[in-house]
Amino acid sequence: MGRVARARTLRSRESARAEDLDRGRRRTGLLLALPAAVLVGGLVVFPIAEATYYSFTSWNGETAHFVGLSSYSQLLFHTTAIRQIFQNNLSVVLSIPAGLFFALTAAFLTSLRVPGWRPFRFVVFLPVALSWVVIGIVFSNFLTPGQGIDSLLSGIGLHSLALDWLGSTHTALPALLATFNWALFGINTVIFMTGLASIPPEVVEAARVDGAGFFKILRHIVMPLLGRFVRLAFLVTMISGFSGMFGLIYVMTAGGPGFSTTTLEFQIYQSAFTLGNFGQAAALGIFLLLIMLAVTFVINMIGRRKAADLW
Amino acid sequence: MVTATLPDVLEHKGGAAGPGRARSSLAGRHLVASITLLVIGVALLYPLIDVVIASFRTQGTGPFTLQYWRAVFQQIPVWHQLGMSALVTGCSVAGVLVVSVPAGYAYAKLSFRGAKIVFAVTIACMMIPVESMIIPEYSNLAKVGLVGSVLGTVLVFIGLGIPLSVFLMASYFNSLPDALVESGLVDGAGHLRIFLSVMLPLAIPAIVTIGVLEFLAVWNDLLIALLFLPIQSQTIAVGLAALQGNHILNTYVLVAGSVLSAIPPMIVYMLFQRHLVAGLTMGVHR
Repeated sequence: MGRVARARTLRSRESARAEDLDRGRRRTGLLLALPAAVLVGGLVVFPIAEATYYSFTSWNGETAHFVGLSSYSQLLFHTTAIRQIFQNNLSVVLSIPAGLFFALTAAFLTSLRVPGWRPFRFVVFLPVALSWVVIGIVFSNFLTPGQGIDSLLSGIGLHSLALDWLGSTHTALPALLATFNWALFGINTVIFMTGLASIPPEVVEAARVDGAGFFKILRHIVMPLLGRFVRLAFLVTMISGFSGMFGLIYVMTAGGPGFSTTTLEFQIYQSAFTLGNFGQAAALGIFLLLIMLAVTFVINMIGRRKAADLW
Repeated sequence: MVTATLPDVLEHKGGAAGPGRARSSLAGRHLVASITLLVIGVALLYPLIDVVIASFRTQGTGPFTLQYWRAVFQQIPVWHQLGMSALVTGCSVAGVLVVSVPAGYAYAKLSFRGAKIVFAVTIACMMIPVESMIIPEYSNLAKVGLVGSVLGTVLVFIGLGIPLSVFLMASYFNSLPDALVESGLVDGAGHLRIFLSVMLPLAIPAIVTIGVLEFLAVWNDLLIALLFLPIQSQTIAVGLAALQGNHILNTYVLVAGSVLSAIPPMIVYMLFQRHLVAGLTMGVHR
């Protein structure tokens, strides 16, 4: 009887201590997480909720009237400017594979560890440290008629290609996108280098023992295993192109000539801060968010299906 | 290199081809690869070098001159703008670190009620484009008088910087063994004490990584500073962007100014290249 009672008090003392510790852990956890949670809640989550609401109103920054889906329907069906803007965003996406192809080539050559790969990696990754303002100012100069690219092209006898790259509606977007992909080249190369380093050498060795040649190994082993890195690089570039290119556009073309280099992201700024149409800007913002979520989802689905085929 | 890497294996030609021929074809292939890298490297740097050299020549093509570089200091308030960039960047980096590191630890090691859902919402915020929330943000901060102030600007940067930082810190703390916490508890230390004196020193590499990422994001930003700082007191990025394209200044003065503005991030890049690569490949976002 006495022994049982003692055991019981021991156990309850132990469980009391465990409970204390548990409470301490929960309290400390809450304390440490609270400031970040409050700041994100107030400065990111709440504004997004507001933006969603305002996208159904006509809002000039002060008064908001409920207008239902009219901002959205305007976006989808009306002005030719909007259609141009969507096409520009599509062009951003379509320019990405070319950039990724060069980055993949560079990563592959770098991972062969040939002489000079270290300085190469340093140079290639360098634009990561440069702002869009710096890159934009440099490339605006480089692309100005009579300067950089002109003298280069004339030097190799291509006078006919010496154009006013940023001044014409036909060439401004390609020039902007070339600059954009130039800036992301380094990040993508590094992502692919990480991918190449993650491939287990045994797998490649086994294929070689089975008699597979260099290109066969490249095509059937290296590329499939790189799949998820290609997806990551594509997503990173797309996110940057859709929602991180504002500075480059602002500096290089300010969205023009006309709407030829205005993307959705840039139009949000224009709608709100030069046209004062905050309601439409909010609708565009929500629309941009939805597009990005959809693309991310689709790319992940493609990845999953490919992986399933592989196994 | 200690372990065999993919390229080692790819290159290790043996047997049939014969060692001599394999080696020479390998050397040949290496030479081709090296030259290709050189060509790509030069092509990448060419625009930068070309424009920077032009900024030292009269009208971009004439004889050597320092006039544009002198003009930067006379025509643009670069020192004031660099000071603003340093102030805003310093405060934002400090703010993000102070709130994100403890939060990352809490989500990784100190589960509390609701932790999972709050963490998920925080992470989801990484996907939100700045432009989607910046307009209500602007009007909210305007209502409390924080538009046109350093405090308001820094707050916006902190809010935007937290999701990625918390995510990276949480995954780093997750990789540290729970046994560290348990042995601390056995020694009678409380959770706060364990975090401060055991875990925090171990997390320094990750802290440096998120510090560097945040530094580059804020120093190089245009939109937030443009909207939230007072017009007469801007960061160097906004100062330069505002002058670009209005033809008040010679473009080579702007080039000189941008080179100047790129020096601090370049130094950070050179010092912390390894941390930067680690951070960018862990959870990429820019």
